[in-house]
Amino acid sequence: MKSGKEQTTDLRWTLQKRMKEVLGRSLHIRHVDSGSCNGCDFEMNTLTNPIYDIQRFGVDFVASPRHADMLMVTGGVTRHLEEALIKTYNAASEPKMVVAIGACACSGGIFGRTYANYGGVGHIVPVYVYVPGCPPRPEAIIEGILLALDRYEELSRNRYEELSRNKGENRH
Amino acid sequence: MEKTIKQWLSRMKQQLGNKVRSMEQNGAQETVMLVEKTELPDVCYFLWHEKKGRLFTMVGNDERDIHGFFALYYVFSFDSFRHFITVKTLIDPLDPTFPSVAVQLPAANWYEREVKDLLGLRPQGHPDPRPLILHGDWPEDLHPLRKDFPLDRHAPRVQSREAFMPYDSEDVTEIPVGPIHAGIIEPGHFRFGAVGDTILHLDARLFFTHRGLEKASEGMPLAKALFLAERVCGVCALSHSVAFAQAVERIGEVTIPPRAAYLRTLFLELERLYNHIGDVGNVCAGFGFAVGISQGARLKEIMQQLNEHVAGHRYLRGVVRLGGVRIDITEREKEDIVRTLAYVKKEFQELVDLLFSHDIAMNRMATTGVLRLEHANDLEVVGVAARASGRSVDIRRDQPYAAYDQVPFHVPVYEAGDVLARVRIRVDEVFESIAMIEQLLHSLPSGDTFTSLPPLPPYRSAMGWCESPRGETVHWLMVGPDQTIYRYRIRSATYSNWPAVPLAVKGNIVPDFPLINKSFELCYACCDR
Amino acid sequence: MFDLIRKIWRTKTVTKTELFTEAPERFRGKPIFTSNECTGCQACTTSCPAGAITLQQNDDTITVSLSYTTCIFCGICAEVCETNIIEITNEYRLATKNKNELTVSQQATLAKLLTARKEV
Repeated sequence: MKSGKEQTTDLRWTLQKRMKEVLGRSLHIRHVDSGSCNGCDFEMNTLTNPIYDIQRFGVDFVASPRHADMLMVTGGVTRHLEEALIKTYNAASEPKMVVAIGACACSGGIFGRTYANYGGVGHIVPVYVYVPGCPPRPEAIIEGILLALDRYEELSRNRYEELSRNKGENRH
Repeated sequence: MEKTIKQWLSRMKQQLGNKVRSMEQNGAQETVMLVEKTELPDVCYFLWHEKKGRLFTMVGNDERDIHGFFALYYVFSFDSFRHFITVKTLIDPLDPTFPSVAVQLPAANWYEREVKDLLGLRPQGHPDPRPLILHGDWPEDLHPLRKDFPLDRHAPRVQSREAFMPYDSEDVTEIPVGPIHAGIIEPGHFRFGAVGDTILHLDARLFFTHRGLEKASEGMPLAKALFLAERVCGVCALSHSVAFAQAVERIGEVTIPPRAAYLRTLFLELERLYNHIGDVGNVCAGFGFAVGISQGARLKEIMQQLNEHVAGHRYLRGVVRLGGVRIDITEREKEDIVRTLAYVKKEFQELVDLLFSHDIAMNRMATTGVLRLEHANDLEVVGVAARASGRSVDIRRDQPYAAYDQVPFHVPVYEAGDVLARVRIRVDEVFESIAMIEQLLHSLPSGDTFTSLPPLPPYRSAMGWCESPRGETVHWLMVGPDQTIYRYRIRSATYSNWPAVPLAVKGNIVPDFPLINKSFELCYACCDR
Repeated sequence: MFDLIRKIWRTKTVTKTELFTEAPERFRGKPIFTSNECTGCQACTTSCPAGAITLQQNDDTITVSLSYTTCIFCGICAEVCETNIIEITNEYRLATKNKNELTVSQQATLAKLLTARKEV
């Protein structure tokens, strides 16, 4: 399977095509700010402006985690937001793709571990894709979405194979 | 001028009599008054009420390693004299209390609650005993900013002491919102007490994104801490780094080369531009004016692409270095800036004409979310919100830094204090900034872009300030041994302005809250740190 | 009303059609290793604000490791390095499914210190 990095730059509808292939429907994203400096948040906001406009591909930022396929987490998880992040994660519907946006979410970044900061989303919830950058450019976030779709495809294929193998074993 | 400041200070000393133990200069612009803690409220109230000083910032510091005491600094700004007076008091660790100033001086409310949370110095008689920075489940006897608290210690969670205003009447509906809101926005928890559609009372619980940044900076080398200062806030990154660099330069008594000062001013105005343009577009989202949202976002993106082209970063990070700037611009980039600004100016004018001629937009914005001048004055509101309420404060004009004393500019002030006034301020400032950038580029001096810093003497303190797009930002810095930070206190514009939002929303309808909130455009990250 | 429509008409479509475009020349993106000489002066490790660089010295080789997860892309390392072992590029596509991919290292031979350390 091609990964985001091998795809050429002139594929206009890459995102939409991949979403159809992998999900068969549109992609809904819930943003969770777990203690970022809001740089990454603004870059995500930028994705919806008329220039990037990822809504035209069927990607939408939704208001409730219950509507979301993907959680985009910014910030290194502060003590005060740990509970909120876990609750949001639990409330999100499967497949719960978590994309960590920015250096803080990936590893705590410049703040690191402090009394109020856990230093990375990976410590709290399982992460699908890491998007480094401080903040990452909007196009890097789009790449993150594409990679998360790849990861989802891989995981669901493995799961399908495992399920069918189990079925086969049971029959014997 | 110098003579009048001296006379003014000595007269003040006479008036205060034996309340002031000693008075000394700290740099050219700051006078430190040492007072007994029992005299603290009187002296502060005198400076604020009689002498009309603005409460600039307040810092609590654990100086037990230096002289065995905690110290509190209340800094007042006297804009007409371009001078600061710091009221300093020492607090014995055996009796960590002090009489609260917030009773008479409402703007000190948050500062004192913060000192109580982070340093364990208890303001006595303070009207609001609830925790502020650390939420209710933090153990009450642990104080992270004390020097004996390790940076990465994780405290256990205890029974929450979080409390909100209880409403007795059954007619009042309580609406809890957040911390995870709809949309891509930072976390905060709001409790509305609403009667029907009208907001009666708002309790805002903030400090969700408290990352322990001030503690993390302690012991950090200054050159590294500059990058930390840039990451206090995403969209006022440059203002924060300039404020920090100025504090360091003031301790080292260094003047930056003129070209560096001009470039800093240039980039600061570029920061203001992309923020204000984006904010005007964003306010349109408060009443669903799609053309405005799209056009605002488009112009903001153009400005950010210009930033990236010129400075290598869409949010202008990495522009400043201690003693100057890291990035120089060439003639070609000058032309690029001029060309882009000419285009943005024309387009923005069209957007503004559309917005201000649109009846529904005007209807929603006018008389919505009025912040009264008295409230703005009492809470020491700064920035756009202050100027929209008739409070004329702009630190670029009042205490000039970088090259702001070299370029003439006009500070718009409106009286109405509503959403419309705040939008009008932003619109006026956009055109003002564009005119400033044109002047700056025209008269950009040649020469070095930085100067090296001498070794800084330990335990000296200084302030750096900057008018960020949201208002004045103050960084109070004390250096420790070996060019590291001993104490770093960031007071951002949003820290001053947040307490005003609950006052401005009172009496408005719940659906107008997002609009009012957007018109203040407060970020949470630099408030919470 | 007509103003609005006129405005929309005049602005036309502004949407980007390419998926990934190159970042401007000055953009500080992915730092890469461009040489294999290192003086072991530790200028990069001491000046890196996020602590993303580590040096490990064996007899005559040095392993320089760089973690993109912690990196804040400030470009200080490239500025202070004397042998230019690290260079900042304008590459921004770093997203990955595997966090371990984000730590890169370079074996370098020990070079002599040429001048006094550059000032940060």
